Amino acid sequence: MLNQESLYPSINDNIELFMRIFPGDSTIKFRKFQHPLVKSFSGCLIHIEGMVSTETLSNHILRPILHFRTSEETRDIPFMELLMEGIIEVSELKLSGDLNEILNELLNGSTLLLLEGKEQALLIGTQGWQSRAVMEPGTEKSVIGPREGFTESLITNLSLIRRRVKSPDLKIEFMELGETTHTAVCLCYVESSVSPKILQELTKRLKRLKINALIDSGQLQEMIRDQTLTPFETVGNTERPDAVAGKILEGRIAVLVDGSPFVLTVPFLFIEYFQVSEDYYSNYFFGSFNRLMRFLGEFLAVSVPAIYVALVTYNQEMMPTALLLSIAAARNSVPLPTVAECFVMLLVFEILREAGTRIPTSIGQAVSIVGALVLGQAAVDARVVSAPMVIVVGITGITTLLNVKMKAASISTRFLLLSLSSFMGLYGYLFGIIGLVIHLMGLRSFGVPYMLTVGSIKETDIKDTLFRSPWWGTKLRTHRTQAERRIRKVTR
Amino acid sequence: MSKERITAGEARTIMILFIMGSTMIMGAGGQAHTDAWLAILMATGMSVPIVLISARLLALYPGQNLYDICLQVFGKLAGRVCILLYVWYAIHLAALVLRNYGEFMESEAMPETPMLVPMLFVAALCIFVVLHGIETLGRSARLMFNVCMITIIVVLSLTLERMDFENILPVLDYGWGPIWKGAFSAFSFPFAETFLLTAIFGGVKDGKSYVRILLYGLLIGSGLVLFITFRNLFILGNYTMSNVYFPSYAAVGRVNVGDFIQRIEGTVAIVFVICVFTKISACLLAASYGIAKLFGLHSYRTVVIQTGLLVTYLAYSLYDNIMEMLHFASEVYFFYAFPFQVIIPILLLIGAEIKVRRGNRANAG
Repeated sequence: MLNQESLYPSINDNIELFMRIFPGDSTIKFRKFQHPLVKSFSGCLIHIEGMVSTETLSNHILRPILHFRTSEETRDIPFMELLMEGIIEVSELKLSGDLNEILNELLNGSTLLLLEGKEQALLIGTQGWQSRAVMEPGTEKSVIGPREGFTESLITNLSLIRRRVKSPDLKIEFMELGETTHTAVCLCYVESSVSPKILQELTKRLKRLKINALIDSGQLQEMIRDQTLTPFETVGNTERPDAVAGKILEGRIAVLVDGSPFVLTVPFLFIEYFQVSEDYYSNYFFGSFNRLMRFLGEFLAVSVPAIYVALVTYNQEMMPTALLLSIAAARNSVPLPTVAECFVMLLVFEILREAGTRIPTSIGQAVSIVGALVLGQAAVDARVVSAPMVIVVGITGITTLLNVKMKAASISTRFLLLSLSSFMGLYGYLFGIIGLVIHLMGLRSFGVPYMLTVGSIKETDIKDTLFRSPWWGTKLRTHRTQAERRIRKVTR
Repeated sequence: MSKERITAGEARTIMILFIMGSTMIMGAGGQAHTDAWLAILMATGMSVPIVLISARLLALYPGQNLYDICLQVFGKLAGRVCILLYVWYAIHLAALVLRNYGEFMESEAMPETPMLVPMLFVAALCIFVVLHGIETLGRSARLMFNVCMITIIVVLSLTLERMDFENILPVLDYGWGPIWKGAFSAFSFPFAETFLLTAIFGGVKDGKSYVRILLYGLLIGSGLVLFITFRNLFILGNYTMSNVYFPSYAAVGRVNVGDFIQRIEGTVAIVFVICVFTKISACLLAASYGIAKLFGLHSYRTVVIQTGLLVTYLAYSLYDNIMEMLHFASEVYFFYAFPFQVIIPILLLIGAEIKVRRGNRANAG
């Protein structure tokens, strides 16, 4: 885009150059200065409004320059050297003559210092923009445990991780992605426990990416996956620094994207959907129980409508007679067949959910009132739907919310199983489940089988998967590194 | 990953589910009536040598499967004929098992649905898993085996009150004749069929323990078959058991706990479907490997769908009715399968031992 490779020697030419590059952009600020005593010491400061800290700019750059007193000793030293070594009170300084680099730094919040007669610019690290404070993460609340969540600032996020893993073993690698957005992306891992093969593969995939704009880590999450045709995520994301610290200590790699409060972790295994950091902080009975509830919840979320339809329309003999009669009575004079009723109600629930997520808070009340009417007693009284169906949809809805991150997978699986069981009853449901098992067993996340240890009943394999065994019950180190060793074993 | 490999545990699980296969539906050694358990024990004993042959072959040619060994031992032409025979056997076996399942669905579970529909579903699942490869099959088998075990244990605890342990008496009521007949039938029907697994177990990790994998698989599998036979005998008694086509289904249908848990034979179908699915997948995998070997294909995956559909059509047109199926299974199958299960394996073993010895001597000399 630029046919100009470097700067001009004259300040005015340079100012004109920047005006040409950013025509009509009034946030580019030029501040010419002239030293009051030394006539030849003149130049210009260029920065972008809003990206720099004005306090640093005026108090630590401009003032020292204008207050500088020359003496006998400093007379022969060039001004640029003086500036770099003594005058400017900012720690991050760099001299550059490459216009592309200069522009990148300027857009990244640095201040440029140009001197009359010099074809180089001094890049001064004055970054200072508004960002959200560290708050409790909105998507992953916890009762016990740390309440800090990631923010949109990459540096803040890195500090949140580093404060938890204070070891020189923690390695951080930067790279830049997005041809237009120049987004900073950062890999973060513990060198002694990371699997070099996975690291290599991840770096390869990131380097291979050709992407114009990288706005959020969600884009990256989809682009570095192994297999693209699945509703199950094979790259994890989290908003909790303590979860990321735990995962990188287990040998995983965290990928941070500037501007996104969601940090990716790879490899991501199926079981991690169900591991919540709070499990590790609360009583182990309670933690294990909650984890079992999550497994059960996920099972119910995908199965309840399918099993209900199968039982009511195909396999009535498996239900106790009294229950069957009461369901038949409730279904009396309901217009739609059970299957259609189930599909319609589930769709209505999904519509309400989506409406509730997007709606402005001021009119949120309306959704709950309407929702209660459509999915509630009023609909049953009007004989539009049957009462058991309302219960089924209610159970499905609430259990889906147990594992919010699995939403995409839950919804698609549920509709698939429902279609199959409406076609062949419980047998169709069983075929669906077997197909699902095959699909999951065939998935890989960065070469690691997605369902690693699922299906195994060995003690070491279920210690931190099916249950959360007590910390004292295992040798402290082996407990958390089980996953690490297993991952290493299969990627060797 | 260049070569697909499964662990020893996964191989063992596939073997167990393979043995349980359609035996869960049909029962084994039915000719022996009350003494079916004795027949199963004898059949297990008889199949130990077959399993040992299989393990020895795999150990002699590490990393190679049945088809590679055939080529090495019998040479190019005879080796190919041998491969062709085993491909046919694998396809036919898969079709037989699929047909068993289809008959079960038509006569017990879904009488009004055409038999082809449930068969197509199972075949589609098998094609799906075989396309994923043996690793996925192994891992899925591992998980589904646990589901099977849980189901069996739960059903056992529910059926305990219906059991009458006197049903086992009188032992040896009909003399040894029917028992031998039942034993040979059980030998050929689930147990010796496991020789076909040699075709897919070429790439087991830590392959030194083939004897352990296969022998344990055989013993656990036959233990489970034995256990199911006892359960059915105790619940149904001799008379009913010889009069139903699918004893397990009938046995579990008798469960009634407080009028709330009743008619749960649908849950037994979980075990049926899982076992049948694993067995057909293993056969389909073996057949596809063989076809790929026969025609020198780069990947067996290109022929999986065709072979799978072929199996389905074959299964659909195998018999006219369920009586024909039972007749074939109990009267004909033993003689039909004898070459595949006993004669060729023995020839292979002798040939392989000679070849390897000669090779060693040549190397030493």
